Amino acid sequence: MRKILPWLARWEVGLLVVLVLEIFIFGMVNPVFFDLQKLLLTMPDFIYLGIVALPLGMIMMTGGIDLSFGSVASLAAITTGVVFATSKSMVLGILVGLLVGVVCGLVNGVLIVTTKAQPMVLTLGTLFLFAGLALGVSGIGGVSAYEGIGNFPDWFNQIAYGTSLGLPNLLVAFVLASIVFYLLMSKTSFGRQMRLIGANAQTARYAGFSVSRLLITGYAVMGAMAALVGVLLSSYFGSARPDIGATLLLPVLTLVVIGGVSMFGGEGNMIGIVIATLVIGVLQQGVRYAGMNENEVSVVTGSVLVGVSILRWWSGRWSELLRNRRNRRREERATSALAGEPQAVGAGQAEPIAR
Amino acid sequence: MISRIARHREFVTLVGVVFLLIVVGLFNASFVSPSNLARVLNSAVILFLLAAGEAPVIITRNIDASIGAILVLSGVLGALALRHGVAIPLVILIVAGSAALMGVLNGVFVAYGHVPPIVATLGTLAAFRGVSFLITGGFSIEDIPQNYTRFGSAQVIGVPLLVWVGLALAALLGILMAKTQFGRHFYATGGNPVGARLIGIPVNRMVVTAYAISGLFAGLAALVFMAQFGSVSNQAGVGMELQAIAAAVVGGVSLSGGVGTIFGAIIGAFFITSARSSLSFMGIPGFWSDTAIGVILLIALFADAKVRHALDVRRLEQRYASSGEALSEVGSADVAFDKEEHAR
Amino acid sequence: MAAEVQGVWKSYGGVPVLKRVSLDVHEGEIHALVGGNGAGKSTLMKALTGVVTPDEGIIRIAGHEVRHLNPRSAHANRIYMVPQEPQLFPDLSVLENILLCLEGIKVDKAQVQQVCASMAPHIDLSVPASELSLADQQLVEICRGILRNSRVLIVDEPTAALSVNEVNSLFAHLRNLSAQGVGMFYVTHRLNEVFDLCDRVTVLRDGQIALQRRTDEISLREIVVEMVAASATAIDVAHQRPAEVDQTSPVLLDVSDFSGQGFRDVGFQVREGEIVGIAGVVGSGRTELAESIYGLRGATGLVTLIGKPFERRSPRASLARGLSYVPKDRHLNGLFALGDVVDNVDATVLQRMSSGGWLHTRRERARVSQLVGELALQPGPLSRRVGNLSGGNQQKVAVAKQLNPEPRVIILDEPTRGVDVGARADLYRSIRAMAEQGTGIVIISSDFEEIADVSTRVLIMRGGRVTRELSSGDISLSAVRDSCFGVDPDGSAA
Repeated sequence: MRKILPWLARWEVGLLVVLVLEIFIFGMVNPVFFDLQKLLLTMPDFIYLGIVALPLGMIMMTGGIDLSFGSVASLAAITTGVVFATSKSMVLGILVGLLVGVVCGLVNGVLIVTTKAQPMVLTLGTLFLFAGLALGVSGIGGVSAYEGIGNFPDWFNQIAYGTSLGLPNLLVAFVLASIVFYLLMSKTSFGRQMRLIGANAQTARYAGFSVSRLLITGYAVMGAMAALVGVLLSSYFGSARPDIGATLLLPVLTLVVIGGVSMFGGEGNMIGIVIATLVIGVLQQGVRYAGMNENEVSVVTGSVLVGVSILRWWSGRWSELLRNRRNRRREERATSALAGEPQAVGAGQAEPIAR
Repeated sequence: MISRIARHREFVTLVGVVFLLIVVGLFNASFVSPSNLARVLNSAVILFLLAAGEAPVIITRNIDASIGAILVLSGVLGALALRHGVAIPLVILIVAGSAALMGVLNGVFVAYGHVPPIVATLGTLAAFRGVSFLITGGFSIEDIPQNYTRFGSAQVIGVPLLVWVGLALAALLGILMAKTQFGRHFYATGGNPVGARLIGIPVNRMVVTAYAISGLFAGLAALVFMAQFGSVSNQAGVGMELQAIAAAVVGGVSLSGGVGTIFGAIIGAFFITSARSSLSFMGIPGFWSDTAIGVILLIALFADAKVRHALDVRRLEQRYASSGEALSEVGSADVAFDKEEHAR
Repeated sequence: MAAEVQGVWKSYGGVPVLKRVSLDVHEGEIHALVGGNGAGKSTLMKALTGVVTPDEGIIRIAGHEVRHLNPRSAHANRIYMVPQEPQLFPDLSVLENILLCLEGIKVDKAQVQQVCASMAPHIDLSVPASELSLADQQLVEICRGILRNSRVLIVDEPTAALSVNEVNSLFAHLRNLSAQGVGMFYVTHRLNEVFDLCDRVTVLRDGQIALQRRTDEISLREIVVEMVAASATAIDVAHQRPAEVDQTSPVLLDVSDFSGQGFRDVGFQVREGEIVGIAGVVGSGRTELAESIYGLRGATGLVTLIGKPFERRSPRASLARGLSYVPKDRHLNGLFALGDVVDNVDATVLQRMSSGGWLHTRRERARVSQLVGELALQPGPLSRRVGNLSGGNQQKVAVAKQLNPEPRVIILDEPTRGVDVGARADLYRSIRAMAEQGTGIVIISSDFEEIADVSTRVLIMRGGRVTRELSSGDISLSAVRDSCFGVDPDGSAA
């Protein structure tokens, strides 16, 4: 039991418990929840958020942040649309769109590394810049602002809207992305270095990491994934709009924070984000099926975000207090048992605490 | 010289504004006509108030991403009250009070709940907007009574009344921040939260107060909004929090805390607003306005980085220049016990 | 009785730092608090000023018990601590920094000017605090403490970076305050200060009080013995200095005409199997020198590593070419506190431990186990967080990290700072083993005894220059110490 306890205290396990509870509770309210088939079909509505939450989690684990990914998604989407509309080649449109995402990511990364400005402020600036560029591109493309470009070939729409092996394609994309990012962050030297930069950027420098190169690469990956989501959303809705990514910031940030990634860097993992995606997605679906409308859902999501953060901090505090108290009791028993014997200096450390 | 610029960023931004006015004026003289400038000021009042309120929060090393939502929610409450015939002074109290309370909620989450500021305020952003949607049922609240909206069109010496009011309120806040002991506490809290706590400054209370101020000013902005537009729609204030943050940063309020003035935030807000309105005067389509804000903000950040770097280089040089001695970190190195000499 | 704590317990992360400590200070008394790093001195003082809340214990001020002490109520009760590291507000002026600290206290400007003039005459009160050197910031903190009208004043290791004049000035002020009835706790590492200034002394060891006596009733030797009780055997092991390495041994590191921020015209060599000690007082430029060689800072001059010129230096290049550096502040830049043992120790060899980016975790763990075994790291799972380890174990991890790439030359900066005696012995043993295998070792230390015990050759740095070199036969504690302070062997100042 002692060995399992630390495991149970892990954040991801707590999330898993919440997920199971949710499905149970919402299922009682609306039995549709217990129908796995139906549940899977509702997933595309939210699962695409997870696709971009994974790289955002990676960025936040380095101690940075990217607020501009919504605008990058918009810019990539409208670029894809405009290139398609002018060149009639969908493939070219997709490629250019993804490339735009990489370039935006590189811009973010290079600016952050060279100006040493805080990533939050800098990506706030690029948020405006890229959003504005998206509108500009739509204007150039002869599309009036907020109208979308449509009439995509059927195969393009099927990418996000269709199914493979009975599963919605967006869900498949999420699963693939989860596997890729999980492996990246836990099994590659790149992922290890990113996490350690967040733990202590100075130590990383002293240990010979090419911190600049790693960060720029990370932000470029973020940009690419944001662009991917922009293209996927265009496929899903059948229309590429220059504001398609405008509403991404809050829900995706919610996923990352609830998934256990710390804003200060060095902590968190991809599994937590995956589970959090499911938790929030099910929460939002459940709330909808329970009869609430979109705005009530919004209120609930916002409250959950704040509530979970508070819970995280305070639970960490309480567990530390409990641990201290337990060790103090142990020390007292030890000293009273050895009453009279001097304690050896340098050896008086508490037992190693298994994590 | 450089350190003086760094200490008074506001004046650099002011120069930037003047420069912008000159350049655009050369392009199209009607931009700098008094009537147009008055118009620009009028459209800037809301951003003035939002940026002025955001500044204390940023100065305490936090951020408030929910002020647009506070604006709309308190505005909805005020508009409904006015429509139901509630007296104007009471409505002002309702709007300002509810907005300030929302700010307090933010502050409590950040200071006592230990929620990271961006997370807390994005959460309350969603919640407040959601609630306002629920109240309005998705419709905008129109037909705000004339006896209130006439304030929106009133003018004093050619400049809209609301501009005077907005600037006066911001000036009050500025004096509070710059000249009172209370104001100093904000700068201390943001400059070094650990040090502030050590000398007995009630850091948590300062944070909550800062958020209460940003909430309050969002409420004041809502009052202006109602007077200027005569209605409150659910889209009111969308994205304005980001603009207010950008305005403050452009005006010299650094996100690392402890630096910046209300005056700077106002100048930054004016800079952004005039840049946006100048677009049409230069024949640039309006949809480039977001790009304009982004570019201005990025230039400001770039310039800041350069100045900061130059200051760091200079400080290192000074430290190592004095009598060739190096003064590296104060280390608490164990100095060996001199057993031979001091044995008694 | 100005203030009193009784039965205080405090633990961090499960590790007890204070175990049922009781302490008091009378009005007008200067009470010294000494103990090694990690003994609990700072934590105890933080408990008294409300910065940390003890898990258990009673705090009494002027006779009444105070519950739920926090910095604000501590101030209301007129307790103030001059912190060990300055905590000024960087963008506010020095004067504003001081005045902010004096709120609610009737102090006139003239008094402020007077105290600042006597403690720190060279500081311009109108400049932002960020422009001050750390030593000057410390002086400002001291001024704050002197000016505050306290009942109890705690001074936490104030003299680390002060000149002799400044120390005398500080002592004069403190004696003045004592005459006015202020009770003071004086936390220090410097035992001569205890006897110069203080009335009573308490020795903390391992979170408990080992000794408490009036200073006129005890000798320095007794204090030292209490502080490092079990050290006798451990230090004996360290006392066998290895023989000097002969001049035909290959030169691994050659530095000449090396100048940079904080040091000028430095030249020295490190041969295979040598342990070169670089001694000096704080501020002599040794860390800057090491960081420049390792590639963290720019410098002019020539560095030759294993026979080849080493230009375009960077930490990455250094590690690849066989040069490693263990920095002196492991919390700042030596460790990943949030990471586990594998994260830390393997950080320097990630390229080697992966193919195509893919980490060989099994190979990693084997290598890490081996390394930490050699350093006698406290046994336990490799997945435990390094931040939870004791100082000595943390330092072992930091050293293991820099040993992993199998460097030919390794520079260790203050390797046993904040390390308990047992871990110290382990580290010395490892250093000696490395030297026997032919690694060139450079040890930078402010602990003269350490330098004298461990080095085969000693370089003295003062004011950024190498002023003396001691070959094996000349090394002794007094020689090292005197040279660092610039005192000639015949006793006069150099």
